[in-house]
Amino acid sequence: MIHDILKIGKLLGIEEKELKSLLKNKKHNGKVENLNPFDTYKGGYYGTISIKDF
Amino acid sequence: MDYKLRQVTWELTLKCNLRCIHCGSNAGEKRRKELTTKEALDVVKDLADLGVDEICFLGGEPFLRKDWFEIANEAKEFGIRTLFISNGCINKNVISKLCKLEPYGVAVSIDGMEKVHDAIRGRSSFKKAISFLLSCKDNGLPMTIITTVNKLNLRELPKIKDFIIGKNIAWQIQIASPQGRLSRHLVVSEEEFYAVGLFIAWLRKKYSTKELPVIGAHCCGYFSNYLPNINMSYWKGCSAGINILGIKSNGDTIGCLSIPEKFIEGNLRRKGIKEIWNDNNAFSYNRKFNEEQLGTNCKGCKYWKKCKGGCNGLSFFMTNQFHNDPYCYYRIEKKFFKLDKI
Repeated sequence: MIHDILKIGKLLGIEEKELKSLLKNKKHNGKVENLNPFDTYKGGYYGTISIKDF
Repeated sequence: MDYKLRQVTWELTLKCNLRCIHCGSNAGEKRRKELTTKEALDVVKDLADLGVDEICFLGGEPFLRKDWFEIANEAKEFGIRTLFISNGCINKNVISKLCKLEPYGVAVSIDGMEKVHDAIRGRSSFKKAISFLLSCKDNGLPMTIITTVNKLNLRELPKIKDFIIGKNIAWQIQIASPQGRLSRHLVVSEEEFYAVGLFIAWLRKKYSTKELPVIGAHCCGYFSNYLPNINMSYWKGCSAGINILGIKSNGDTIGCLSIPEKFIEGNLRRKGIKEIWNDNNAFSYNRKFNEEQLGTNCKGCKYWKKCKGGCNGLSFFMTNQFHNDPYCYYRIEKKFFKLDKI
């Protein structure tokens, strides 16, 4: 339930106002936000990332 | 259609000096008939011929294999970039060799602070892993921490965050799958999974990538009406057999090391890697994917063409079929957030 998600979010240290901000429906429909600098990532996605990817 | 193999995850050995309770490979003793040095070097050459960009060496514990440097250095000589995943409980003599090799990345598994990490991975493993990690860092190696989240260590995430901040160490957070030694009751719930996504999104918003370079692995996704992308790149469906390949230490070859062994495509002692990769009938679960293969978790989803049902490893071990990953932000939002029907 969403109540449980919020409770766990708080346990992970996320402030309430941040939780509310994150859960405000942005309706971006899966479009990628804040891609930089990841849009240059050429890794294979599996295994591990490298600090050099950032 | 031609498929370009880009990345290989290679289990150098199944031998491991730890017995982690969540190990998906059930690592410990080495496999029967692991590849010889010569066979492994031949595989590297074949991978170079296929134009592979990157090999991620893992185990077991990859540094327990005596010829790890020889194999990785051969890859380097062919211009293939190398990465390693280690438990960090290893003789620091490997560090000088790693410096010589100049790998693209070295990852150490850290699953919590001392008490929880040791409960999962064994006594004294935390101190050894941190010491190894920081020694590698001091020697200029590009370091990553991988945290595999289950019910035992979920609450450790903020503490690991505090440890990593400002250290110029990358952090990859992934979800433990009920395979190998991990009991199903330790797998995070849907709510916990979503909260981990929120946690990563929050960190990405709060800190710059210089302060805290964190991502969710390929098992954290895939579409959402709320969460921004928390992966390293845009999810285009499971890449097993599309542009990635897994090699087990005995030469068994499979689309991804995290899917069941019944999907092994062949053994490198009997069939060349080029023959396996270029076989039109191989990796059919992904190469011949169509809407009919979607499970009930994904059927009817408006993102099915892009997503293809999420991580096939997690999907299979949770639901006994591919293209049906229940750990999906969008699905959980539909279930719990009362969004409009798709």
